[in-house]
Amino acid sequence: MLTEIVLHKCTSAHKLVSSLKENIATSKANNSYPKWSDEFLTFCEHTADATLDFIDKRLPALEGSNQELNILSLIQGWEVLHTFIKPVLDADTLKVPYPLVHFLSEHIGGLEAVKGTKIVIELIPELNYLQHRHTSVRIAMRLLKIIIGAAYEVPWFGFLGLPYSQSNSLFMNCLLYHEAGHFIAEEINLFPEEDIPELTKELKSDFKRYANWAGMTIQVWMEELFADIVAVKLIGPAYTYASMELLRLVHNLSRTNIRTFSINHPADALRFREQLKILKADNWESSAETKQWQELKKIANIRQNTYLPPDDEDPSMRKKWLKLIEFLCRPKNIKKVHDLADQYLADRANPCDCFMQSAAIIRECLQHGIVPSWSGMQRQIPHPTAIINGAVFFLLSDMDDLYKIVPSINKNKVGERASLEKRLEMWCIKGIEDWLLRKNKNQ
Amino acid sequence: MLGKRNMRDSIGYVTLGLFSNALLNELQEAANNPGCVPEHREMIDLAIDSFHEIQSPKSISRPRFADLVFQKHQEANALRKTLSSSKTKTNLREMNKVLDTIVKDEVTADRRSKSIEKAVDFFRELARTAIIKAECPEERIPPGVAQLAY
Repeated sequence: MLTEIVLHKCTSAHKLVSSLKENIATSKANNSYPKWSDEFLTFCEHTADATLDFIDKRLPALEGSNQELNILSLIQGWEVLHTFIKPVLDADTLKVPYPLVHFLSEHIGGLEAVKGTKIVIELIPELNYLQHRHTSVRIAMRLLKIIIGAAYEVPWFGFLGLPYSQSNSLFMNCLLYHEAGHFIAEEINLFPEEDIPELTKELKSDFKRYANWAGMTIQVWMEELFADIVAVKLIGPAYTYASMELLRLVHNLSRTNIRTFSINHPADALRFREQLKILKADNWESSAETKQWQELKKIANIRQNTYLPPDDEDPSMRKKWLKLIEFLCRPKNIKKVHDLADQYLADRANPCDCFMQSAAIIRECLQHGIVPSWSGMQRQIPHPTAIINGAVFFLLSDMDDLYKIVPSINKNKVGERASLEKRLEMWCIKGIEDWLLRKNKNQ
Repeated sequence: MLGKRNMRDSIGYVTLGLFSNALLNELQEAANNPGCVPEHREMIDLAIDSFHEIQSPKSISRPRFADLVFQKHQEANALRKTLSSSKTKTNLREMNKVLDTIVKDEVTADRRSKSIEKAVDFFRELARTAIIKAECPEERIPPGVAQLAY
């Protein structure tokens, strides 16, 4: 028997959950979704069914005071899930570069350190990329499942968000790999909370009562560097060049800005310096020669002692920020980040090796306006990381070859340039799709 | 925005609320039959391991996917703050002993019953406080997203 107040709350919960279920069902009827997004939505539907069943049948059997606590907690659990469902519903296969995100999901899920995880794509309103922290939500969903007595397991989802304007883009969406780096960092608990006291001890003499803050800031900066390194190790210069492109959109790579740290991010000069180390170690130097590569080398040469602290309203904090920057840049701390990336990506394939195998054929295809899955006599479709990097190099250096065979397009007209570049990106996305189709056919 | 909170800022408290409720349901079932070890003890075991891990980090070896609760900053913080503002006088170490007693084989029905009662009081108070705090977390944590923002 439910009291009037519990009955009222149960009715509200019932309406909320039913409405979400209807929203999902309607969207699924009208659209198709990337594989893991579809699984996430199905998981939400099953959770909705089990929740409604719990409210109808099992909740009334609970002890009186537990009824109200249970239903209030259930509503809160669904409010959390609510914030995840909408951006996933927005990201149907027509609104995301499906082959790219499908490949990324397989690429990341194939790494031993995070094997079997499933990347769900969200569309977000900002012109930015993000990773939604997922482990707390996963635990909350597991507890919700236990309360409602559902029989299924909570799948191992990760959530990456891309801007809704970039649905057909290949180049900019390489930035998703940085977010995948954050996903890996969270999944393996790269910088656990229990490490903070040790770090704080190291920082104590310089930072005194600020040592805890300093330790946490160092961890945040290190995770950013880690995410960059993961991205470059997995996708090569395509990530670095895409970052430079995004930077140009925002602040024109000014020398002051790229030397400035923010509360959440190390200075871009440091980030690019560390990326260049990986690119050189992976042997990209001979293939990645572009104007951007020269720019990258210049940025990497910016002296560390010219890095600038974040703007802080309190001028007395400037010295502390500078000390913290110096601490992060110590060789042993930078090495620690590289070592962690090496450790967790030990089984990755060097994208430069894939690229070298197919660079010539990809370039030839693009020069003639052909989808780069045609591989002549080789019967082997170039690997997606090779297609992505081939496309980026072509976009940055070789577009003139394409203008020659499409005389109707005037390369001095911005709109026409943009339209041809978009087409090139779409050919490459198609190339990735062909690779995935061939791979699945062979399995 | 109309409301007072963003549920993503409240996730630590939501998790604590769900955790306490799931545990309460198991304890309630155990209370009906204190003569033997509870048949359903998934949550009790999870609580014992999670509390133990908070007190002695890295002491529990577990596969990557076997998530314990309260190991993330947001959840651990929510637990700390909820405990300090709830009426309960019991600390985590004592509660771990109580939960251990509930799942031990060689415990009398009377002792198990008293332990269950104590645990129910503790987690009911925890659930109540967590639910209230989830509605208006007193601090905004940095956005629950790791952005590439430049």
